[in-house]
Amino acid sequence: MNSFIVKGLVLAGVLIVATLVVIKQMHIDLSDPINLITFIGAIAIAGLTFGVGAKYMAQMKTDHASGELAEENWDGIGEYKNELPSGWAYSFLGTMIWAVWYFLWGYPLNAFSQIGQWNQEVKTYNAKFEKIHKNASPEVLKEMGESIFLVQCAPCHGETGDGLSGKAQDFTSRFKKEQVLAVIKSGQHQLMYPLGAMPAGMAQGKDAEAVAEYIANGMKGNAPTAWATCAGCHGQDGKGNGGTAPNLAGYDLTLVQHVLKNGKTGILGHMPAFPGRFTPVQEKALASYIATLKQ
Amino acid sequence: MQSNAALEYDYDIVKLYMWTTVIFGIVGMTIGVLIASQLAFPELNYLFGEYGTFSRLRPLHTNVVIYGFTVSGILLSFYYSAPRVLKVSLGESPLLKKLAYLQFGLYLIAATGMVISELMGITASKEYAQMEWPLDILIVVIWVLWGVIMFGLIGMRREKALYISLWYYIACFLGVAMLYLFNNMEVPTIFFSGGIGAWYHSVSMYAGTNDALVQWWWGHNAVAFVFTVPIIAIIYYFLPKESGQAVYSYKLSLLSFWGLMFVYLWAGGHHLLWSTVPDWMQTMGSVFSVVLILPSWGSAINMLLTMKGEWNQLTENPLIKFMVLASTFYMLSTLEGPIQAVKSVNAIAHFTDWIPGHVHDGVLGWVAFMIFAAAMHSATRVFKREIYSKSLLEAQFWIQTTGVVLYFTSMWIAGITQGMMWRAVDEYGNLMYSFIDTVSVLHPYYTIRAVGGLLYLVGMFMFAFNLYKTATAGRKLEKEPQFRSPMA
Ligand code: HEC
Ligand code: HEC
Ligand code: HEM
Repeated sequence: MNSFIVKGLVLAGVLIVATLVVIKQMHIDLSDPINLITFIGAIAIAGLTFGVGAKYMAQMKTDHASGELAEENWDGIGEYKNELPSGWAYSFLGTMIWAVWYFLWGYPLNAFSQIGQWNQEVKTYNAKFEKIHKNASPEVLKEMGESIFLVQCAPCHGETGDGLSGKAQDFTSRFKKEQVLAVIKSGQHQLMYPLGAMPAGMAQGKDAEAVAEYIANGMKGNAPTAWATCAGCHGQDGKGNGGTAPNLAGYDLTLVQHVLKNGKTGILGHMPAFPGRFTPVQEKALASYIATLKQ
Repeated sequence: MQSNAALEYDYDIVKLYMWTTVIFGIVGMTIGVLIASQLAFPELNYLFGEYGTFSRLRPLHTNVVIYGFTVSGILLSFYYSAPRVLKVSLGESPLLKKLAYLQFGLYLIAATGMVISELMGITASKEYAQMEWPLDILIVVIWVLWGVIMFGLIGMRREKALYISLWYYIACFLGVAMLYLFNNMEVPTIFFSGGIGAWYHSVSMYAGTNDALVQWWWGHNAVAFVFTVPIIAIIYYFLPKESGQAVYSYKLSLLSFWGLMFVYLWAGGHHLLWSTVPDWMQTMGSVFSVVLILPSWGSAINMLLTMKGEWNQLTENPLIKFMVLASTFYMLSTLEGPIQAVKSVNAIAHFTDWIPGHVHDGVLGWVAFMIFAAAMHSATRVFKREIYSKSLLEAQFWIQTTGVVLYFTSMWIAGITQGMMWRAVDEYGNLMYSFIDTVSVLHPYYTIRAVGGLLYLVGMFMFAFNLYKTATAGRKLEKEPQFRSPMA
């Protein structure tokens, strides 16, 4: 091969290797089809441009101009009546034929939908994902939960889950006293538990204070007498009576599922719903991760 | 054919555009270096209050380099070379010459208005169409004047057939006229709001996806008809003229021209891949982009083959260096673009720094290089003087080439890394990186880009100095050179 072309290709190679080194440092998975096609595209750009460019440079050194000149000339500029370079002509013809074929048959005109493709891909991926992680161990679930949490929940709840000083729920404890008092005062009907709505004014004055204090402290020690009213629905231990009302003692899977499905607006702010965004395994993972944040 | 008796060409207008090319070049590229540095060192956003922020300066950069530097360069080359290949002087028609002065005057007003209004933050908010309606109207007048002059000169010509460059200038005129009008269809709000709001404010006549489609039909074809077509016109005149070589193949020029004309207009959809634009339109944009490789490479190959056997010119003449490298950079960007338009590749490339990298392969390596070469070649004839310094020109070439290489390699690596980081997921399918992670990884590349840009700007200053000295202090020439521009 001509030394120019070798040099051109070496240049292309250096650029490609440099790119490869950098993306590998970022742990990029090149077997992902989109990444792979892009990388092949990059190789094609660098290789073809530098290779073909070098070929013409070489011709400047070795070849010489020839051909039949056209009769006219403009300000001293002449034109040869040379034929088309055949490589160029066949490639042009080839791309035109390919274009017509691809547009009308190869890619069936009007029979493709990017939304359909997206839905299909997500469905296939989720099915595979559920199968792999069907019997995930608690450690795997916790790790998976953290990985989801950092992307989807941390922007509001904070990387450590502390709620960013009251901007969202603080997962290091269950409730602040004011949160409980607000629910007692106004009732709540957002999470869609089997028991339905939590009525307003289930406790008043001192009783309400005492119960709120008790829940905010993690339900340790003796329950105040007014707790009995609450226990009817939330269970004596406050854990939600087998999933019929929210767990007031900690974060469990049922609670996370209800919150993700319906969202929640309280005195801290608005938590958007994430309907259909997570697979059952992912919900389980989120719940088990959140449960570990409590001190 | 007419006799070859020497015709005295009238270069008054050429001189004017030469100086606007230099001034807008310096201003536009200085802003370019500033915004490149801001991306690496954000503190630089606060140098001049609101007027120095990235958001103000970025559109100012693009508008000044496109409508200031590039358009001036195109008009300088047109007013220099079109009369020569038509064998008429602008001075032969006092009317056309007056119109050309008028066009230049209006152009100065419009360009100044553009700079001031954009610095003040007045913008129609469409990329490459930021100017508000009063300026748009002025642009239309300027463009129509150019058409009148162009076709006036063609009507007066002494050469029977039109030279290739002329085809491309005509295409530039018609293409921009059509696209600019349709994209800038806007409603000045003051007339319909009962006098509420600023008099210069307008809203686009299109909305939503339609607006985006029209916008990128224009946006992409601004690349076609401002950055490609007239620059091909420039190279088809200046490379054969400077080298004294006949154009390699008439047939290849013809096929490349019509290929480019037919294919370019359909490719704009590639700016809206994976968007709300109908799927078949997106595919059409991709398919036409891929076909576009060949007509683009056709012109570049034709120019490189014109230099066949002329290695000694390449080593000895810096102007030839500029033009040969420009053809090669043109090949690089016209292969890179179509590959970025493949849907799968676009899924990575879109919104990343690979795109500005691609843009600047073309504008720094191809557009600006051609404008430098054309201006220098013309200067020897316009001022009837030798180029002031060959070694300065040579140094400019190497410094700017280093600048472009730093720019495109850094943005290439940065863009591909960034796009792949955005997609990267861990073993549970969750995103591995947040946005700020990519920013910190890219910091060194932004710095390299700013350094590359600075080198390019230094070259721009060397060019300005060399051109000024050529005009005022170059050795006088007795006789107009036939081909190669003499230089000291
Ligand atoms: C009639 C049954 C019932 C009684 C009695 C009851 N609750 Fe509730 N509580 C619910 C239900 C159902 C919800 C879920 C409401 C929803 O859908 O948002 C709830 C929600 C709550 C919440 C909010 C939980 C969350 O995660 O958002 C708190 C706090 C709470 N109750 C505290 C109390 C206290 C304190 C008492 C006693 C004073 C009490 N509840 C009595 C049924 C009851
Ligand atoms: C847009 C911000 C935002 C995001 C994102 C967000 N949350 Fe929340 N979340 C909140 C706010 C605000 C609250 C507290 C609402 C209140 O009670 O005032 C909350 C409360 C909660 C609660 C407690 C609800 C209760 O009734 O006790 C849970 C559990 C929860 N979020 C889980 C999640 C999970 C899991 C994610 C990620 C998949 C997530 N959140 C993402 C804002 C957010
Ligand atoms: C000194 C040389 C230059 C430097 C340092 C420079 C730098 C930059 C920077 C930093 C951006 C913004 C990129 C972003 O938003 O991420 C940009 C955009 C742009 N520049 Fe330049 N530039 C230079 C010269 C030029 C020239 C000469 C032209 C045209 C003739 C040009 C045309 C453009 C265009 C069209 C864009 C928009 C690209 C896009 O939207 O993706 N630049 N430039």
